Amino acid sequence: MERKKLKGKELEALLSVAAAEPDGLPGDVAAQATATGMAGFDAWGRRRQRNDLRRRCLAAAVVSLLLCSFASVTAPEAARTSMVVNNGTPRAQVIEGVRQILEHKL
Amino acid sequence: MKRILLPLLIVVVPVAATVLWAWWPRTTPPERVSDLYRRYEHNPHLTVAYIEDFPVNDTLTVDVTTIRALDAAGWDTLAKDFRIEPLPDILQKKLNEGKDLVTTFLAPKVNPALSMDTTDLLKNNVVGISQLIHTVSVFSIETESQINAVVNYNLKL
Repeated sequence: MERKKLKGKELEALLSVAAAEPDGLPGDVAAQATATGMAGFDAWGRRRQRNDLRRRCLAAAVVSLLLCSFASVTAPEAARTSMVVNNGTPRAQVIEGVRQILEHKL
Repeated sequence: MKRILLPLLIVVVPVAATVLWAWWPRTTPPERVSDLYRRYEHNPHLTVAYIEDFPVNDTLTVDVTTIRALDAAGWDTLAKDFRIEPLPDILQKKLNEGKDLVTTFLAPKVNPALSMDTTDLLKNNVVGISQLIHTVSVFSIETESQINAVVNYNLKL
């Protein structure tokens, strides 16, 4: 009998039925379970889920790397520069003042 | 649940950490600020800031103390302490038109009101004064290349 690859919900349904009625699986399900073996289905399902998770994690890592690069590149200079100001003057304004002196000097 | 949660954590946790690290303002600890900063930090007429490692070119950084007068009393204090002379009428007129006049000079680290210490260049700081924004910036010098970088800033050599 040709092995039928069950997917997601189908597999879960089969496994749940098998768990609930190990001695009396209904016709169709019983036939498949007999043909391929419950253990095979189980292992194949777990393997498939693991691979799926691995792919998702890999994609997430790539997205994370891109977002981290973007966040660090776009961080404002005023935040990246270590400074202390005696009153509430915005840090960007302080840096702008220094730049103005450097750029407009005689 | 695990199939969604784990990838979500892989994205959210590092990105949140990076954003916090990169965007959180870095503050210089009080023990590292310059004497100039300490001298003026409680003056209500002045905004004083100490900036660590301000980049002056691709490779060099320099520590800067910058003091901005908030009113006439603050500017009088700076004028006295940094020997800022009143401008001639012609320059004052240009200033009133919105043109900035910035002067840069070397002054001793011990007292920026004195003339440049000629015995050793590295005993001086670079002082820049903007008449338009009433700001004095003192660049703390440790090497001669820092002097060159500050003085030649913006010049294509």
